[in-house]
Amino acid sequence: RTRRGRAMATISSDAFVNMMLHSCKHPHRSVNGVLLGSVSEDGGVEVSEAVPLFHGILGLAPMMEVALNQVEGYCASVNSAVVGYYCANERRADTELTHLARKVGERIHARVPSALLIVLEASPASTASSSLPLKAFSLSGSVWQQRDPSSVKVDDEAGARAALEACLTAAAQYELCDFDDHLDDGARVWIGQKPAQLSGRSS
Amino acid sequence: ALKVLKALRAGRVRRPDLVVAHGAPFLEGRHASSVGAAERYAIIEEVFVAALDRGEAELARRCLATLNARFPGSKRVRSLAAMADEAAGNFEAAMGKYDSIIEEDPANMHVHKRRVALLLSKGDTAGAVAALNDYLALNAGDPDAWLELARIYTAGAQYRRAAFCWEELLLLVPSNPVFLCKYAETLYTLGGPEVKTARKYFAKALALQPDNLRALYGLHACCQAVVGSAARTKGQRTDRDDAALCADLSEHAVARLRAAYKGNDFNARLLERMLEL
Repeated sequence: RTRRGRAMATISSDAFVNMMLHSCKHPHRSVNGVLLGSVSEDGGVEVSEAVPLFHGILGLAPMMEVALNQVEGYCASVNSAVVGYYCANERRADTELTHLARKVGERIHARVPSALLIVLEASPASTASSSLPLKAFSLSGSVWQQRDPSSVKVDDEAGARAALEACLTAAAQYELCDFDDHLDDGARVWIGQKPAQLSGRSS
Repeated sequence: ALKVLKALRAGRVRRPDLVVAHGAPFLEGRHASSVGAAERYAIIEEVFVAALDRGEAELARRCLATLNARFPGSKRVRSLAAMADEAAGNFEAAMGKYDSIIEEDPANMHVHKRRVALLLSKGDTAGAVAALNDYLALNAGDPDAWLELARIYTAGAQYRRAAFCWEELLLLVPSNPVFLCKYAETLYTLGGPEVKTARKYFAKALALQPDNLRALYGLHACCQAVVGSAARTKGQRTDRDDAALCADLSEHAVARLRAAYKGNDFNARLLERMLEL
């Protein structure tokens, strides 16, 4: 039972790994994507999947609209919902919310009041770091406020970090396909990718 | 190994892991019979940059030492040393090196651009934009610079300025579908009357690449937007003619998109659901 204002945001292991792989695939570029999952009655958010969208140039409307429309259609078919958005700024040390992040966040918030915005920091250099390499935000009134780190957790964090390291060792990030990659090659699938499959393909 | 390195170079693909894996042996003097000296040093330079990318400081140091021994005092090697400073976060030292090279050689394009990259790394976007604009004032024929400036403006949501950069880039490289689409996407983002112009540029990209997904989706989106706004403003005759054109273009785009996804049920269904909206 959580108190009002302390509802938890839980990120599945697969979603965490996918977000970090997307960031690691393009370490010198910004990346973004959407978070799928469900919300609970107390305002908690459960993220079950991270769908990578773009890398490099993020802020252009037409492809973003196509991607969001297709993701929303997919969600309806699997009884899931778009519950958030993640991004990493080109300079990973910069963890400010961009104008684009706010705009997309507001669109998601219109349907999901507990919408989550995540800004990724640099990939954890070692599995020993104690805090998650990300900042999470929720909309409070008209302001996106950073969530207390204790209100955001990754399901089986140790397992997730180990899976991430295994993927990076196998260079599996290069197998991850975002919507940008799909636009370059329509045969590639950009939704529903699981880290285990990516490692399998790259070894 | 040489083939991989050549392919990465030609495709301008950034895969430092592959460069290090395939290029590092050349540093040790292996494969000496398969490359000339000039090519070997070019490879070592690439390995140096890749090592910096991967945070492999020791490998980078060894590459730099080899290059320094062979080309002592060379401006090119000095700018590599400055890159190493940047990678270590010693921005002042790096800028000092770049500035001293510029003093000796004011037309050194490569170092001017390294200065811009350094300013971006420091987070000084305004400084980077100013430096890049200064550079372009003297080097308006440099497509990479226009591309970088377009990127920076887009990241800062300055779409009008970004559009100007894409226009300059297209003057230099008129038949590149990637640039045509990015320009069109920027115009669409600006909205209003620019959407019709965006439609034109997506169509131009399609004339070059009939199955370009970006251009197909973009064309479709423009048509929907134009028809939508005409309906709202109860347009005149010209708008009704345009509506017919939109319908044709839209139909064409949808047909080609469906054809592109034939054989891939998952992606085909994503498209159909989107069209139903």
